[in-house]
Amino acid sequence: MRLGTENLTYIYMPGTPFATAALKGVTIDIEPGSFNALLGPSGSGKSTLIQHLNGLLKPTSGRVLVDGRPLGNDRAELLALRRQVGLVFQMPEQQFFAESVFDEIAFAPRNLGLNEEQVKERVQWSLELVGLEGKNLQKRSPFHLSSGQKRLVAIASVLALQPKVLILDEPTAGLDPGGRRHLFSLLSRLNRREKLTVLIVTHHPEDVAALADQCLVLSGGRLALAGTPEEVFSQGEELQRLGLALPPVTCLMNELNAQGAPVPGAVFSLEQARRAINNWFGRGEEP
Amino acid sequence: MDNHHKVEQSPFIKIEGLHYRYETEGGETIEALDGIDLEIRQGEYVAIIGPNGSGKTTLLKHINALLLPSAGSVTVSGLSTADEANFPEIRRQCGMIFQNPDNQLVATTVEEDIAFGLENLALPSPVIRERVAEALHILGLTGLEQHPPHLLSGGEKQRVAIAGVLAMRSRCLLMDEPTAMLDPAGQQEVLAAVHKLNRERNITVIHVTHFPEEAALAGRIVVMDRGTIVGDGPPRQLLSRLSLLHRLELQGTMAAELAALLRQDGFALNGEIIHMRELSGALCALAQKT
Repeated sequence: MRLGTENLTYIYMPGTPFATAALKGVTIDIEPGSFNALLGPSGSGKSTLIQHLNGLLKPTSGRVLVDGRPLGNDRAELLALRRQVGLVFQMPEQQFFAESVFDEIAFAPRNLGLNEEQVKERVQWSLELVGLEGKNLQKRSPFHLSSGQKRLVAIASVLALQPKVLILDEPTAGLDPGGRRHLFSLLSRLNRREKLTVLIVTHHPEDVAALADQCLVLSGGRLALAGTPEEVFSQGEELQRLGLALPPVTCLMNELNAQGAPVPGAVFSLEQARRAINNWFGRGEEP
Repeated sequence: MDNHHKVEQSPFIKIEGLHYRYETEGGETIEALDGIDLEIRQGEYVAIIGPNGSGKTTLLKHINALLLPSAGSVTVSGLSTADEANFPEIRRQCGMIFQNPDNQLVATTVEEDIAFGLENLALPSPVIRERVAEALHILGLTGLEQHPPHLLSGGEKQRVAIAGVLAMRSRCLLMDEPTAMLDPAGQQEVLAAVHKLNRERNITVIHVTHFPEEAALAGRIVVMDRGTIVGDGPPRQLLSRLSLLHRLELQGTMAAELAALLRQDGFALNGEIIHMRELSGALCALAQKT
């Protein structure tokens, strides 16, 4: 499924003294099966934008495009979109309400009208996708899991809808480095193996720069930059002006460049940096 | 920010043989803290790192008596948390800053939010005004007095929460991942404010974090695993001991991690690199030699 927006503008509390344009003429295109990162300082419109992509908010002007067609106002159409575009909010475990992990994940499939046998299969399938199937968690209270497991159960409860697009708002906030790594390898696997389109809102470009096909940068409600990680992160000064951080290894490369070292600027991961520095010292490619 | 002056010799916080256990729904006993001994002096900046579930937050909550030991003792400024009569003074001296700023702002304007704790102390109103103005000034929030807190940026919200603690004349900030939900600009804002309070006002800071880059700025790092302390020392020592960190599925700073990879490739880099500027300096020096 291809998702996009065309000249999307959204005004909060229109017609009141508090009217604020949260999005101003934003046009984006999310390709089927792609991995996307949405960056931007707090208040730049990231959460407002993703809520348009599954029909929770309606544009003040402009359009949301689903497979190239403008999204209508029809209730059935919006419901269908919300099934296909799964949205994982910030700190999603704060919205847990069920007494067991099973019931938490079964909530959406039951709402789809599946029978209990099918619901069971969906829950099992979702837990397998996030790698929690062997942990005997189904009867446990979701409130008593570890933070990493809670986050995975929250994601599983969205995956249980079998969406084509998964959108996550700051999915690693509060996770330890092990949990972050685990989550990113999970998302990368869902993207590659299950062909799920992924869009991640994040403040940590180092997490996504090596994975993303496309980086979108919002600033003050406008799309400030869009392109491959190489295209976006090579504009260091512009990013800093927008109040965004560069991945730390990219900063290192820029610093080395400034000192006259012949290293490339478009380096985002530790392994890329390792290779670049080895090349600079004439040590060639590492095995 | 490595030099931390005016650190007193007698401990401000003294934790001895601390155990905290609770029962799960299944009737299993969990030893969340399993024998903690820790002393922290007034004016120290201590980062606590460790995997999720290692007991960091549980430990933090014992320091201002939000949780009480199952065994062992916690003493703050000579006051034991075993005596309920000490709770108000312990909590005045040690203010807690949580991860989500929206969960701790209570009033409709910034000014009222900062005044909340002071009003509960029943201080005369001119004193409250003076303290609020002072706290706003110190945190760089002057001018925002009448703003509704929910319309502030994440960094501003956390600074309002810190101002509320400061107005209470607290001597210690207990921070539980205070930047986890902030953007990079907000993170820098909060870190700069807290380090300034530590440096200039000798406020003790205990800072739970998952970001090695934040821990690298502390005066001391305590590493926790499964309810125990498994490392305690200066950042340079702790963050370059990658084998310990990796065993716990933690990470050193990006600079320490990259330096370790390059050492494997035969680069002659010393073992104490934790900041990117140190790594770039070392690499440039190495390039000149070869």
